[in-house]
Amino acid sequence: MNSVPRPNIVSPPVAVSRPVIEAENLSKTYTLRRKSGRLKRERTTVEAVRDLNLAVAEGELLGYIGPNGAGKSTSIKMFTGILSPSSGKLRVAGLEPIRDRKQLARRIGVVFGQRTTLWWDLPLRDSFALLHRMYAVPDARFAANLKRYVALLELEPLLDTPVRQLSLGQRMRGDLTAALLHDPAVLYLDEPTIGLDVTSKAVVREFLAELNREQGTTIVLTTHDLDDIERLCRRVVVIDHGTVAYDGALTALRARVAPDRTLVVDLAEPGPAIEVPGATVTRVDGPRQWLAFPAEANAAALVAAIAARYELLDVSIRDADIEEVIRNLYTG
Amino acid sequence: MWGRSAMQYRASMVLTMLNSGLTASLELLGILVVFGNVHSIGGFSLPEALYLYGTAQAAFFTSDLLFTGTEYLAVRIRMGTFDGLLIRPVGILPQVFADQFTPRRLAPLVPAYAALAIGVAGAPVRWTALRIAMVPYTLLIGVAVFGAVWILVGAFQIVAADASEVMNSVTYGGQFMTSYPLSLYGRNLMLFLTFGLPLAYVNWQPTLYVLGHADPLGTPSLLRFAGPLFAAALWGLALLAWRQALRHHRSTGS
Repeated sequence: MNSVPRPNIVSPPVAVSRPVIEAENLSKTYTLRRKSGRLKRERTTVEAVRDLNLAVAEGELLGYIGPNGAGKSTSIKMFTGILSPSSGKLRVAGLEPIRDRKQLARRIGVVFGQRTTLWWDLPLRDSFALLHRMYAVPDARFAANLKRYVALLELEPLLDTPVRQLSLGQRMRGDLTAALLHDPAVLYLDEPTIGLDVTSKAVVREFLAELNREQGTTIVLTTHDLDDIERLCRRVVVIDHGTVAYDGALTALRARVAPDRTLVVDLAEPGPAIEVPGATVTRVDGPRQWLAFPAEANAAALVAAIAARYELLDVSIRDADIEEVIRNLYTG
Repeated sequence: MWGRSAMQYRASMVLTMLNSGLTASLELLGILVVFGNVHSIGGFSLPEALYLYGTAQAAFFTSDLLFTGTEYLAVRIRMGTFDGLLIRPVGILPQVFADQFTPRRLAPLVPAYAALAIGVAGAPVRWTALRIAMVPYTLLIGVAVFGAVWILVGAFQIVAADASEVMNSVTYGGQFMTSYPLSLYGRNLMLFLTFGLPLAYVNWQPTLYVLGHADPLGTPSLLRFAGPLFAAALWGLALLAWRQALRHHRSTGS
């Protein structure tokens, strides 16, 4: 009676279209205890992530953005098996992150821009050798990967320098290599270009684009740098208040939000708010005034129109940054 | 491999090794000075006391060499680098142990084993096969018990972030307690260390057997061999606490 033959269920073959990251109504709540009296403590619940739905297909290069405290890090920590979800379903590379932590670790690479996962006092070469054994990467595979990434990221002259002596940009290149030696299916990058100079940023971006193109590595990129997103990601997911506020193409996001640009003018002397067609004053501070105008409008014509009626000392134009794009997504 | 980190600062390592070796040796000297004035403490003669002291120190510093990474966990938690261990495809506890492994912790083992050797050579013991076997056995139980205590320390650090001082009283306190005949401490403390916090099994009980002393508490002689039971229970407790601590970390974040 209990010997009914059951189909032998092994993990199903991964179809090409099958998402590598699948989150369904994923939530994470923290309980905070706050002092509310001499001995009394009040419990408050914070929803860091609530009902997050996300599907990332294999080979995507995803921009994962949102204001600070929006739940980006918390959700990434759940994807990587560092934090356990409070509720909802989550599968990464067909695995359940917390339960299959060790297996998952072999399939993912993680780079935290602000903290290195390398061994602080060891030369890069030793750190890499340690990872080789830790991840049990086959020797030939390891040698080939190391050679490839060292060449791409120009690490050869740095291999024998202890990590603590590397510059931020050099260390980031080391961290990237370290995260990729075991051929992860998914690479999570948290602010990989933060604090880097222009050249290092370009190297890192070019590298990521190639990695995604050549190896088909799925990349989830968290950043505050709009340039990173613009140069690398076709798809953008905006997280706000712990949930997905936007999911789609970057161009569509721009078009949908169409944030105003800002023109800052310094007049010869303080006066009332400038009146000019096509722009509205948002702020006045003595002789300095801030005017908002549509992104697609002609800035030169606007400056000319103002100059015709007011004496101008200086002008500057500021593009809407990513924070504003996101803010407009809500208020607009 | 982690030892290589320490080798990066070679001079510093040599100096700290000398320092920790010397500190441990001075303590040994202290015992000799005491015995310059009295002939026995707690019913133990000089070689007997050295034997007991040696087993405690050797067990403690061996466990310190192997398991002490947990003592530094609070720093990792606060710096947020603990998460870095969770993304590796190996056990978290082994990573924590290996994290702080350094050859400099070998230094205090020298005076510890020296004291043990003097004790073995000088104690008036008729060495039977069982008594000889009891020496490594004592060390093994000691390392196991202290090891479990280090894991408890780690679990505590994850939950309480910075309470290393509290834990020091258990670890280093335990090291101190086991270094001298428990008969020095008075009956109540002895009772507690035998039946409450089972530090008595680290080396006191087996040593009573090896040296042929009767337990001042009058416990049955079977207890001399109860070490593995207590060590196993302590490990069970420690691993359970560790799992709970990890769960706590995962549900609260850093």
